[in-house]
Amino acid sequence: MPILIEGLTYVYAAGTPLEARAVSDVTLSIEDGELLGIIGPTGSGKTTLIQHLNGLLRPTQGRVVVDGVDLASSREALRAVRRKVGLIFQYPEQQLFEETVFEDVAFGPRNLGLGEAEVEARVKEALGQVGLGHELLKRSPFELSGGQMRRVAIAGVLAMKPKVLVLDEPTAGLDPRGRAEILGHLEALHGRLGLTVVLVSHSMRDVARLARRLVVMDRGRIVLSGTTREVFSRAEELERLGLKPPPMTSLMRRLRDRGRPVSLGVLTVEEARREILRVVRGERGN
Amino acid sequence: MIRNVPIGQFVPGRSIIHRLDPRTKILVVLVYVAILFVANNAYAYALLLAFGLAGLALTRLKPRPVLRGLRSVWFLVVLTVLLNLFMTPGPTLFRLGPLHATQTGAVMGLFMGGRLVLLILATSLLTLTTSPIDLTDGLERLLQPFRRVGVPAHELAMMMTIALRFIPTLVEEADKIMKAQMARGADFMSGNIVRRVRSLVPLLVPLFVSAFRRADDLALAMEARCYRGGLNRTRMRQLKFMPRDLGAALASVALVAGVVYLRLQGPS
Ligand SMILES: Nc1ncnc2c1ncn2[C@@H]1O[C@H](COP(=O)(O)OP(=O)(O)OP(=O)(O)O)[C@@H](O)[C@H]1O
Ligand SMILES: [Mg+2]
Repeated sequence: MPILIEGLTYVYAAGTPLEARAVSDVTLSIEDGELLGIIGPTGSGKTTLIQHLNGLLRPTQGRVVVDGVDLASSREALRAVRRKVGLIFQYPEQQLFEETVFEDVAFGPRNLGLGEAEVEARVKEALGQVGLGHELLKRSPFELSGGQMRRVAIAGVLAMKPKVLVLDEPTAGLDPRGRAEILGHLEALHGRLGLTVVLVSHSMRDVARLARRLVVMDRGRIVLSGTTREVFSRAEELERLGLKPPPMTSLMRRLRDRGRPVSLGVLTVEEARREILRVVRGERGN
Repeated sequence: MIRNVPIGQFVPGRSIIHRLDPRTKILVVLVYVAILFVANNAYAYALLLAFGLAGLALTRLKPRPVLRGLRSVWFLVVLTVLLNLFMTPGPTLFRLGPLHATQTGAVMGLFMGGRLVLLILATSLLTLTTSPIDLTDGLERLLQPFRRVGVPAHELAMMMTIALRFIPTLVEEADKIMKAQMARGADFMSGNIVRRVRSLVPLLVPLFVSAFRRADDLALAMEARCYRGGLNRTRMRQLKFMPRDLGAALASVALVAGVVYLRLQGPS
């Protein structure tokens, strides 16, 4: 189910002195099963943009079409899209409210009107997808660790079985291990279930690891887009926006500045290792 | 959606009313409200209305925010007028089924309704032109003299400041949590009253959790900076009475004199 955003503009508090244009004239299409990263400096409109993907915000101008259906067309369209597009907000653990982990994860499936057996199956499956065991089912979500709470909250959305998963900075405020775990689960969900994943992040390292395609936003507009490698190889433009390419890309840049003929399209440590070896061997060979 | 709640009506500006000392504004509004209840004839009301409108004109506000303040209470005004119209005994004006409107009722209703509108106009002029910080500062200073009789002026003002400071935060948070739960299929808008109240649980629990956490954090942060009430506190922003404050005071004295005179002399 492709998502099409056309000429989207969103203005907060329109017609008041506090009017703020958060998204201006954004056109973007998200293909089935892709892993798209959205990056941009603070206040560039990323959160505002993704809240349109399941109709939580209505465009001031332009339209959002999911699976061929314009979200503005009817309440039914909106309801249907909320099941298909799962949106996970920043710090999702702040939305937990039930007495037990089970009840909290079951909130979404119950809202879909599913039977109790199906609800239970989905809760267990969703918790498994984020690496949480069944021993947590009866615990209160408020006595878990931060990272566990976040995963419970993500499971709450996964239990609705969305086709598209949209995450707003899912790793913000976690320690390196928590980050790696969450990213690992996302990767698996994308790989195994073929979920379309849209990842908003401040962490260049996270998007470098996960995203195949990147969109860079600044002041409400898309200023750069392309494959992750393409975007990260345009270091000057990113730096002008206050964004830093991931560490390995920067390393390659510095090697290049010192006259080594390395490629700049390097994202991970493993790729960097191979690239450096290639160049070093090449030099020895001569 | 939830952002439209009318709180913190303050509209920044540079008009003379904006620049009046908050203490002056609070006192003038108090006097105005008190004198509203002294007025008992059309002339006095006209005078009060003229004073209110003059104040409004001086604020140079656009009509929108002012009307928005009135909109939230128009129902109360209409109810007041109707209740007076139909419930006051007196010569019949007209009948409407079992109800009969009276002449006395019509006059009473108009006066009461007018009183309410003027009351709201005056208080909104205060809140529209005074930032919450100025408002609490002014209140604290005005309450100072009552400290001797045990009024915790500083504490009250501090509580108000903190409450005001956190209202927008909580509204924003409520908005965010609502969206997050809606993304999980929660429905806050439909169903009967029981369902709707129950549907608030997923909103209220996280909201309270975060409010308590914030309160805790704030208390800790204040303590860490050695906060211990208003004792020996000095201020960065000093309040000073200016000539324009004298002008406002004189205008209100004139208003009081006018209304009292009309009550004593005028027709009732
Ligand atoms: N509820 C709101 N009311 C008014 N203005 C808002 C609101 N939410 C966001 N804005 C404004 O819209 C702009 C875009 O905000 P948005 O939250 O979409 O940015 P972002 O890219 O997600 O930033 P961050 O990286 O800090 O999360 C900002 O200038 C912000 O001040
Ligand atoms: Mg954001």
